[in-house]
Amino acid sequence: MIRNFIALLQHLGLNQVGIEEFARVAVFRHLRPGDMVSKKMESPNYLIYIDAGFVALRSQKKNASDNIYSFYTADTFVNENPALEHIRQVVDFIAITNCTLVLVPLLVYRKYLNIDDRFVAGMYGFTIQRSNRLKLAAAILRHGSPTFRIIVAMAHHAMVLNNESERRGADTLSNNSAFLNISHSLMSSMVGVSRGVFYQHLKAFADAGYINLEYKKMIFGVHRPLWLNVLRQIYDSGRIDKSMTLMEGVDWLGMTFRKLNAG
Amino acid sequence: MRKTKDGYVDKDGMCLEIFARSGLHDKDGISLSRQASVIYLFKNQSLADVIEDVESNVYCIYSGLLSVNIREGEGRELYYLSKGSWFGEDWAMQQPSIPFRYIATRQCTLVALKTNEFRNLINNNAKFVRYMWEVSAIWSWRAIEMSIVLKHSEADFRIFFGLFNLAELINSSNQYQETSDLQCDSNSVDLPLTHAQLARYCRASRARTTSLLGQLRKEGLVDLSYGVVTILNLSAWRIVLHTWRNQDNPWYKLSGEELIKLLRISMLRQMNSDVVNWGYQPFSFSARFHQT
Repeated sequence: MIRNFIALLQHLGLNQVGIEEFARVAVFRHLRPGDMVSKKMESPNYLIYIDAGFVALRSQKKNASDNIYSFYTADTFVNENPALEHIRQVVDFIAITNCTLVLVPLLVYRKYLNIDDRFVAGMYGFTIQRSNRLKLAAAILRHGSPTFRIIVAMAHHAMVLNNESERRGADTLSNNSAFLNISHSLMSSMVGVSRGVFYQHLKAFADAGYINLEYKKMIFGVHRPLWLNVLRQIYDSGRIDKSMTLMEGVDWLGMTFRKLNAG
Repeated sequence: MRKTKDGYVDKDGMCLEIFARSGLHDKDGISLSRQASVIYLFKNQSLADVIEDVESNVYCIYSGLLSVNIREGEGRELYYLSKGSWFGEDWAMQQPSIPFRYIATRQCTLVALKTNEFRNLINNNAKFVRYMWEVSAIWSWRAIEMSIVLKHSEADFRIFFGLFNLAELINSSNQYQETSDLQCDSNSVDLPLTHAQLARYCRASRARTTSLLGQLRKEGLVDLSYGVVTILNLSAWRIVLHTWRNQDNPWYKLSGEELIKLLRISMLRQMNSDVVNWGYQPFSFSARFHQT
């Protein structure tokens, strides 16, 4: 179980002594959907690595369904930035699916941040990805139309799952699709639209053949290359559409799909 | 600090000041300044107007205030960067980045470092990496908090929080540099923004922003002049926001009057701070970062 964690640490440049110590002190925790990470463990004292499952970052409010801000998927750290401890006063992490977490005491983690220079550089590069995602999320939530927000959120998760499968070897996913194991209501709250509107969009995308909906299981398969291409277009052009309608969204996906098939 | 005869800081001086903060020796700072270039932006000028290939450099703001906008349309500010902030590390580290527009809100001086120089620094200087990590942490922390507030709160609280967010941004940049072009001491901060710009940042209407600012002015919490909003009594604002952060269930729905009442109470508490200990510690990233 700890294999993925160690592979990531090696990838980030931690030295052998450090890897051995991390492996020795690591603790496992299993969370069920709805468990709050901070309630379940003394999270400020641990570096948390998500080995499997989905964790959502949400603002601390009693009503859990309307305040999801961002998702963390497997093979990422939750509180890797020691300067960001302050943030826990405002947000909390909540398990969306069954999760397996690996915890390393912050004391050990900080020790290696201070002495292992390659590890610091590796971790810094790793966290830039996240700050990029935050920038994109902030920009789109503020200025994009609902359809645009939904398309980008889905494309974005396709990318996250793609990266995950690349790093772990493609055995977890079939070639062309990825599965988002998130309920519609959670996803819609992150995107900032109502669940009804979100489902209307999913239905239209499914009718056009760009996703497969499995309603009862709340899983939708994603046609990966299509969605990755959509995200690349946004990154390349910086386009944030504030007036895109559902029809235009489906047309856009269709055009990308045809281009991909032609080229 | 190195200055030229007519009182301006020269390029070496700027680089020394910037890199000294990031834990580099003066010697390295001087040698880096040979590769660095200085860019001046006038008010409302976009970075892309001055530099053809924006993504070939990483930038640090030496003075002024820069707004980060989405590509198309006018007045689409996402967030602001003030002196001491770096940007461009995402494309320098070869991460996919969104082509934002960087526009000077007021006259800006930027120091630009070539991306390969920056990568060399990251690979060879752990102190610099720690510093950059800390700076980007400040940014992402502020951005997350602001986005959450924008998503969930009522207009009055959004404006209130937006004001505080910007005041802290400008105030914290003071700890990164000796010089200050924006008037700023420990308890008051100048925001060089018009009401309309502020309203766009807080996603509120201009009229509502002006009316809340008027109320705050009556209470002596802000001062208004043409194109500038001065936040007074920053410590009182901090106490209110600190209490807000520590709530299990933060109040997003507060109205302007309730907020002003809270600010008034915290001003009174401050006068009596020996009696009531609010436990507010000025927030230091460095102390937390190096704590082992």
